[in-house]
Amino acid sequence: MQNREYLNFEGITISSYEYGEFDKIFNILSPDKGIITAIIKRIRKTSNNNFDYIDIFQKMNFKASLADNFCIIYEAKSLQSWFERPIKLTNLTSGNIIAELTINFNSINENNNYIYHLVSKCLQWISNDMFIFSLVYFQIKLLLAEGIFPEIEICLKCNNKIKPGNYLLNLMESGIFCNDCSAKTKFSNLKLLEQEIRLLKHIKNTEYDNNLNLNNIITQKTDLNLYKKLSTYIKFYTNKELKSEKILFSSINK
Amino acid sequence: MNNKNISISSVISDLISHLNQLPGIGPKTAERLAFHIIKSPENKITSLADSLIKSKQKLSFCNNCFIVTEINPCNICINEMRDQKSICIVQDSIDAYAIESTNSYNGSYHILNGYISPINGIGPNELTISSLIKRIERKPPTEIILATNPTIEGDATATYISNQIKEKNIKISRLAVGIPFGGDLDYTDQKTLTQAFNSRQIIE
Repeated sequence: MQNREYLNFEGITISSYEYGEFDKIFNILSPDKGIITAIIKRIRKTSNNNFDYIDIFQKMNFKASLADNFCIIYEAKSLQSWFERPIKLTNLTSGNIIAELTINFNSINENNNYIYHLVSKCLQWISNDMFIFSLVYFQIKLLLAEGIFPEIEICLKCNNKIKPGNYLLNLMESGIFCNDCSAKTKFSNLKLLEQEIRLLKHIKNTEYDNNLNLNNIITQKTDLNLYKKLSTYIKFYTNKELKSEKILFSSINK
Repeated sequence: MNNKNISISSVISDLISHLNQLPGIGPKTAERLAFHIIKSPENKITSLADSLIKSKQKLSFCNNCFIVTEINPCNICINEMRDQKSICIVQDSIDAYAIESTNSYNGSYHILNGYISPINGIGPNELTISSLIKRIERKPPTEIILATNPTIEGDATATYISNQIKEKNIKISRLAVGIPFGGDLDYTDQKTLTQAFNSRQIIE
């Protein structure tokens, strides 16, 4: 008979899909092991004393048995639930974008604990309707954690300090060139405005706590254009489209 | 001998692969079903195949409410005995059938053909929400009942629809969430119990 290894862990449910007639599969972000794919049997049919209400974007304590490449959840107790009803489409979509980015970057294990707390913090802000700031903050901190944040302090070519102004971000070289050097170079690029570069630097060097609110000057300054530019930059590296993104854009336009 | 070395007929593997594509059917169940089909009498399987073909040929979606139907508009939409001023919005036809089996609702339906799920690329435009809005403008109902699943995505779908129609002066309600019949309070999770408390009713 096969020996089963049991595991107790804290995790955030970041995505789910229906499986079979009554079951659901969850992608659970854990601080130690990154994303754990887990099946919860009969969850769509019956209530069970071992389970609290389970849905996406919940922090829970899980008890699971490990199988070959996934695990079976036997117990789940709620620790925190971010999205309360009524749920806004922009908030759900932003949570989904964070989930997609987390899944796409789930390869470097030493960052798991940091990413776990980052996701937790950003979901908290999204639930407080600061979804654009949360997305930009998540993008910047994720790029830093993965070591692919673009160089924005000095020119990639001449190493001179970048003065305030608008610059072109070189996707291939992952950084900006000063005006003199960019005139001599051909590359695929993104135009970053002065205030966007300032904001990027500020968020890069600042860790906000969970209690950030909508009146904070930085949350007000952060706009969708910066999110879109960072998203283009990330797509250049991952080569993956985010399915949630077009729904976010159309819901904001409405 | 290793099972993987046994070469099975391409007809069987084709059948297994088709069954495996059905929702809720994993590879093992597909294998079991395939071998059950092979062992069953021919007339039974012919009749199963006939009903599969007929269901595809004769069934379509109602132009008005999008329920799966043989006639268009469907029996529910043309039935004058039903309250056509009430529209119950559900995710799929199967949910309408579940409500119909209770005999507790006598209005009409609107089938969304899914729910908003951005992570799967499904937004409001992929559902029948714009048809619902046109239907409401054409023939304004007195009540809209939002009967999407009580999940985060089901609730976001209900909230989105309610925001789209709230200015049209229509009574909008949402199915209650609470303790199931025969359930124990101490077995009920905190979220459901809180919701049940918030939706408690006055005994008259």
